[in-house]
Amino acid sequence: MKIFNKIIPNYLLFRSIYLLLVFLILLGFFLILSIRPQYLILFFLLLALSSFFIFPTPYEKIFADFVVPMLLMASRLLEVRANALINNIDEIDHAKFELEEAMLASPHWVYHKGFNQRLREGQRHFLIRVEQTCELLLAMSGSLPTEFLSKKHKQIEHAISQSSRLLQTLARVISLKKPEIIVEDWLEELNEIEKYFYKIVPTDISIFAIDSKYLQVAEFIQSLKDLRQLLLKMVQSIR
Amino acid sequence: MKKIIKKNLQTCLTSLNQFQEILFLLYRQRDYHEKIFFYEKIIQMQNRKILEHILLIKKSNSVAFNILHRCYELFLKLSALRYRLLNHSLLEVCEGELQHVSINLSNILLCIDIQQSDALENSIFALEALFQRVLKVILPDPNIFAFFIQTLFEINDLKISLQANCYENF
Repeated sequence: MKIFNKIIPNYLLFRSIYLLLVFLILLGFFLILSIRPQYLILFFLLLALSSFFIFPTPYEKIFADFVVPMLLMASRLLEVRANALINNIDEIDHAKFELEEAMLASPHWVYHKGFNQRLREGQRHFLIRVEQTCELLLAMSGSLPTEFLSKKHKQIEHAISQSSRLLQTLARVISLKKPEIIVEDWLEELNEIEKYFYKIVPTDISIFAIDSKYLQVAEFIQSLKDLRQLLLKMVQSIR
Repeated sequence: MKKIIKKNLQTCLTSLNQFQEILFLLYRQRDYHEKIFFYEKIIQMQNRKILEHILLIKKSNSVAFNILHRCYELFLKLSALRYRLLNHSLLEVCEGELQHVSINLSNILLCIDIQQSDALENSIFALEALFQRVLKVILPDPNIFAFFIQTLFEINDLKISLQANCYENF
């Protein structure tokens, strides 16, 4: 049934059955009462138009069908990244590729001018945040210097997987499923990592003469903070 | 077959160039946060175009794919400045420098001026000098612009690999 629903969505199926019934009833009227064909066509067109109101297009659901894979793939990439902080990065390439494929199917029709006015502001806002999140994850640098990781590895890993879990929760909410409840402090951990980093940095990182690895770590922390902010904006928009 | 690969490479580099042009144009405008839907629509459409071309190249030329993909990732890094910076009007002071960087990037991506390889580096140095003198003082978080400049240096480093693996196919 699920596969069938994917090929022909429910609303299209109901619309088709409705139109078929209307057609058969009108044909019956035509044969029994011999109504003029032009009236018959007019009736049919009016009833066909009414089908759009009786069985409206569920834009929320269609939107969710496109966005949920992006959220799940982004979450997967984060999970892989958390595991690959020290080990290999081969899996990251595969996870990136999956995310890129999902991004290609992004529902760009929400940007079109004629799109449902009631929905477009919210869906556009949400899609922008999702796409920015995907971009951020694709651009995040792969490896971090070991001297930094050796002390803060666990905390960074936890911060990444926390974001990954929130992405999964968002995917559940969007697809109208019961979400997992996450009650955790969102900012303290990142602030602690940042504090530790600025303790070990010898000088101002924006002086490019110093080792670029410091800038790399600083950018990684900044990306984690951006990710948190984007996720919180997404959560706010679906409240 | 070679013709198809060449065409794919050229279209990919052209769309990467269009992406950077849009980004640098956006940084020279002040109304990104007011017209966010408008700008994001353009950026995402271009993003999609690049992804389509890059994934096409993956099937035919894996070395060129790796370099172009890296280039794409670096451009995505550059694009992060648009939502990190809340007041785009602060970039008004470096409008000219940003334009120069964009032009030099175009020259490299469209392989117009590959011989003048120092032009891009020099324009990034000019931007960095301005950053150290002025932007560092006026930006609320100067680090985010430091990341931007660092990414530009990384793109500059990629130039040689681009030349060796992509342009030689032309």
